[in-house]
Amino acid sequence: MSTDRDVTRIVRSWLEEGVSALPDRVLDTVLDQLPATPQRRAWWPARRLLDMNIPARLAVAAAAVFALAVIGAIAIPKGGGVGGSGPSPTVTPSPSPPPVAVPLGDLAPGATYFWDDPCCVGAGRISFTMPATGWFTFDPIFLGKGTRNPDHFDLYISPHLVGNLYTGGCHWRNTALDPPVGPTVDDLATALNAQAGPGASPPTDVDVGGHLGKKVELSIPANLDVSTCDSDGTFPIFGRWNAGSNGAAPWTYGNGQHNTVYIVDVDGSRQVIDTMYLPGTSAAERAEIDQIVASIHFEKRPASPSPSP
Amino acid sequence: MPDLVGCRKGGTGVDAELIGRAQHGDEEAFASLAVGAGDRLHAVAHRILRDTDLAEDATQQALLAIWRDLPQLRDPARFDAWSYRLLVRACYAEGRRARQWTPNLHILPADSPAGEDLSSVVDRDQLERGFRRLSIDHRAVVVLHHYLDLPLDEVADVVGVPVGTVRSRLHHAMRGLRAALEADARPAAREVAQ
Repeated sequence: MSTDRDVTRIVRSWLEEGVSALPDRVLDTVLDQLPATPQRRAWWPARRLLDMNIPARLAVAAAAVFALAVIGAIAIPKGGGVGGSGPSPTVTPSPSPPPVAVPLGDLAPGATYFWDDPCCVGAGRISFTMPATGWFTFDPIFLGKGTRNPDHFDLYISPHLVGNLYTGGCHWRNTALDPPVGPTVDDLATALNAQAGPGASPPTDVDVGGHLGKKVELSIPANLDVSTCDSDGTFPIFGRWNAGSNGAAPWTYGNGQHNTVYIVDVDGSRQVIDTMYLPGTSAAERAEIDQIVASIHFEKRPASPSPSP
Repeated sequence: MPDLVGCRKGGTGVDAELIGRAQHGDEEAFASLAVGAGDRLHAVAHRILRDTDLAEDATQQALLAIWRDLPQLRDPARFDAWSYRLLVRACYAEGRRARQWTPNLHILPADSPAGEDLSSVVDRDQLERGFRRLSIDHRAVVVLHHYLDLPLDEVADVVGVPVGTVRSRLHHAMRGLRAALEADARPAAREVAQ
């Protein structure tokens, strides 16, 4: 298994390969086109607002207010409140189309997808249904939603196969448990709960897709600057466990991050479903995570290759 | 001695006086600038798009955009970052165009470097596949950060998104590449939709 530094080194080395020189004919084409390509001169307003007289300023302001009102009337959906994001429109799943492998990009509300990557799924495959709009993925085993920044997860759900635990926290390097955590659901739940520290709620019983297990709640202190935490080679991580080829986990998005970790036994394989939300995530958005978990089914891996969407 | 700005990896050490002349429509001055910038822009486009024809088209479009918009560049010291921004936009456009007309880009032939550093040809193939699965957004941050050595705040400036977004893109892109590298160690499961 490669370390993160190995991967970075290999990627950097690979990027150094390949062509660099621009063929002369391309440069010649560009230079030939210059006479027919007018330059855009820097544009500055002929009259700035402060230079205008009062009636002119009022006219500009009124026009701006009118334009905003028109844009607002178009942009705000009927029934939507002012300020704050309401819950995403939920959908009723249509009668069970076959699940498809998680694609990159936007995930369709109501669609049923599956994970089967052996990196993170121990037995068969895990299918689930998306409850609402706005979920997307850069990485098929990592589904998220960014409510404030469309490219940054404020909440996510991801399957994991947990190897060992760290003693946990910001400075997790070289803190793997020795002896390692035991193989059962209870072993992992107990150790994670101990990692959460005194005052943490004990693990609770759960049923995920008909499989019994435990749920553990973990929070990063709100006053901890996670940017100071040990890096996984690229980014700081508040390290709790080692997820095999995925390295240290859970992925860390900010101070006060809350993870709810589901641990279930699936035909003798310990499966973890890690979910996360950042402070400020609405109750409606958090409920969407619960809906995804509630929709999970563990299935046998089909004999033939799975279809891509 | 000319006033050189932007000297470092990925920078041309461009001549501020040359930029000033090109801003005022001096085609000879722009030709000198283009000769200096063309190779580095093409190298970046080639690494983002992974296709020779698309990379040449993107570089051509970027150079024309640089000529067209050069009068609006206020600070010559920012020429390199500004030119990368125009290049990345051109790469987006070429990437979209390629998706509209072809189901897949063809894989570049592997150029074996003189000093072999990759562990194997398998690594190269896996990386190529993994990289091609990434969106242009993700490829751009990988190339700008790991090829040009731009710090994340400068990458954010070039691609026009917050630093947190760059971090997130880089995080997921590198995870995807790592998974691609390790894919040969396990049975083929499925192909992600392109």
